[in-house]
Amino acid sequence: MSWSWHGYLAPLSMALWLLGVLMAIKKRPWLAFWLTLAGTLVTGLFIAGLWVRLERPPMRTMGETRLWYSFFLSGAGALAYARRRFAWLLIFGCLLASVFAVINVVKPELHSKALMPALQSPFFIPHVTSYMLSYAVLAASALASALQLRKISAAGVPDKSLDDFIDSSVRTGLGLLMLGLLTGAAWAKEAWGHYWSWDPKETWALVTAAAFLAYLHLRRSPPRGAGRRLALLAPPLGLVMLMITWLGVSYLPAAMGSVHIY
Amino acid sequence: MIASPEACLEGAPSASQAASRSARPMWRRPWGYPESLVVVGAILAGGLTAEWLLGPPPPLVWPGSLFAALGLAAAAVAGWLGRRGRLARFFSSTPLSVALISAVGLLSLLMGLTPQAVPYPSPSATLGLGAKLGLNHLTASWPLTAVYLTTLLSLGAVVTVRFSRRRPAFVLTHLGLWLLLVAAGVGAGDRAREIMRVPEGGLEWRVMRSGGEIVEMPLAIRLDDFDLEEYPARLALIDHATGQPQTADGRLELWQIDPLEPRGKLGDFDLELLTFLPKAVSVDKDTYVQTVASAAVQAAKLKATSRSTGESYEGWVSTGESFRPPQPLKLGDGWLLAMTRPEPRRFVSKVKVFTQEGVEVEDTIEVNKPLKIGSWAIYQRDYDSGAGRSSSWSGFELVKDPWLPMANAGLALLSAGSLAMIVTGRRRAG
Ligand code: HEM
Repeated sequence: MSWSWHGYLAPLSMALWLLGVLMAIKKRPWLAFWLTLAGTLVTGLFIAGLWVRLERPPMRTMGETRLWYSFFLSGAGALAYARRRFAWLLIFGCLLASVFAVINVVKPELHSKALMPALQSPFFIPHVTSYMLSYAVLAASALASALQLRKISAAGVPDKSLDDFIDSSVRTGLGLLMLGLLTGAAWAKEAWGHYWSWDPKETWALVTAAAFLAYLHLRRSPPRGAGRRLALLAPPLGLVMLMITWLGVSYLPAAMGSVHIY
Repeated sequence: MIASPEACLEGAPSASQAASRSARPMWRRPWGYPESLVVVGAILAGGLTAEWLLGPPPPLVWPGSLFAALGLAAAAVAGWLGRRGRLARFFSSTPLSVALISAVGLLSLLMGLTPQAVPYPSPSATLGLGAKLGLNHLTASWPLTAVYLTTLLSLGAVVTVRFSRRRPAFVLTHLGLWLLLVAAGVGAGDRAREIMRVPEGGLEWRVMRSGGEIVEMPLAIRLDDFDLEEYPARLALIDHATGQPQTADGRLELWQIDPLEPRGKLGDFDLELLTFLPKAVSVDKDTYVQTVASAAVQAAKLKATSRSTGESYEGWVSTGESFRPPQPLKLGDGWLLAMTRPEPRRFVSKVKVFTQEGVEVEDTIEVNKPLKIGSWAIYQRDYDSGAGRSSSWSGFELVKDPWLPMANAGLALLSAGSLAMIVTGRRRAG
């Protein structure tokens, strides 16, 4: 399956996601779940086809990582919706997934088969997938934190189920982010002999991790006064850092000569 | 297990306490957020001052590094012995952890935003303010060193004072992080990295440092063979008049040769791949044949049809090699169709390594597959990229890291802890 298929499969995925979202709004949870998941599977099918076609994991170019992000965002949205029945989570996941799918349709990139030798490593797949998965989960935690902040300023009290969701999604997302960092470090050791070389992408990933770590530890013992609200600011801030890590690093003056520019 | 998550929040004020606690004066025990922020701020300020006055910190080398590691371990044990004391409680407290995490985040942010340079050997009046304070070489500066050291003291206390068998995620992450950070930080000065270039068929035991200084290594490498596999080349259109390649939106426009997808477009031309020979020699300008020789080129027979004029051209294009320039295909008067330098798929050095102790090992080294021998690891680094397949030398990086086992142990524990964090979610990880 070559990239030209994406022009047909992406709209199909998006149509299924749209139907899923409509069903969620109409309070038909199981239909919503299965329709969304079907959209995710269509994207998954395309990823698998591309993998076979390119004879390498499709994880190298920006366009390829966007595919994974679409896949994980909509999938995580569907699963979390099935468990917690937050319609906003499903809407958010599908919306972002669609944005990335549209970018790939409108602005396709030069797609080369070449996979440079340093990337040919057993660490490549766990490294990229755990990052992409963590991005999806942490983005959801950031949105939930923003919602919670609004709830607190409107009603004066936080929503208990939102609190639970934020706590568990930060844990899951941060755990995945750490795994991404650590597989990257182990891989760099195998490929170049150094765990960590303060490459700008590494540095920004550390800043991102610090923001979510701040949430995790602040939650443990909130400072007096505006403590809870302070903790809730960390995930949205972390999301900004995460976006810079993923998309923005290439544009920074500090990034000259990064091994992560693609 | 804890019944209510709120019940375990230390320092979370109940409603009745809130009024009296908000009036709590600074520096009364136990220290909380205000005190932690001041302490970490003071440590940062101390680091900046030290950098200003003394210049960058000198590297710690064996056996100083060993003593430093033992000292940190002793501090952790002392934390456990004095776990009821004020100091151990403060160092293992969450407010201090938040202040430290914020400081690390802030310093990394600075590093992520500003280009970093190599540190200057000594403070001098001509340096800018940023350089004097260590801000343009943070990784080797006093401010980062001071925060790093405090983090290690804190982590050591966190692990020993707050240890609990029922909280595997918590214990594994912090113990792993402590091991990893000790090995990485304390061991920095003991790590050695050298770059060695070995000619094909030759034996080399010397390395050249960046200053031009030549140093003898305790091991020698003989390069028996260097082999490079390539991806199929890509094609570019070159303007006959200017010699410049065709671009679209500021990007080089390229067409990837791919026998599975023989038709495509490049600029104004429809391309069709008729034959592709990944390893070829030319008999004459119009005839290429397949070969197994190492001095081979990539060659393709193509048909290009201009969409604007309808004219079509057919012929061979090829990459070059040492004694033969690349062959382009002329498309009328305007354009040349040419192969770009192919990207490497794999490069492998067949070597024999000899150590001073008399050990001899014959093996291959390639990217992602270093050769470990004694306390050294040998990495494939580069080759003469101008010559490509016919490169006459291979570059290696020799790395020695006596702290590696400790770093690996830390990495493994931290990974296990992160997995535990994902698996146990909110309820049990604690
Ligand atoms: C700067 C380094 C760090 C320090 C000083 C630190 C310190 C602390 C402290 C003092 C606690 C509270 C323990 C208790 O209440 O018994 C804690 C909890 C925790 N920390 Fe850290 N930590 C650091 C980094 C990390 C990292 C890198 C991770 C994860 C990868 C992590 C994950 C956790 C977890 C999961 C908890 C339990 C939180 C909860 O159950 O709510 N910490 N840490």
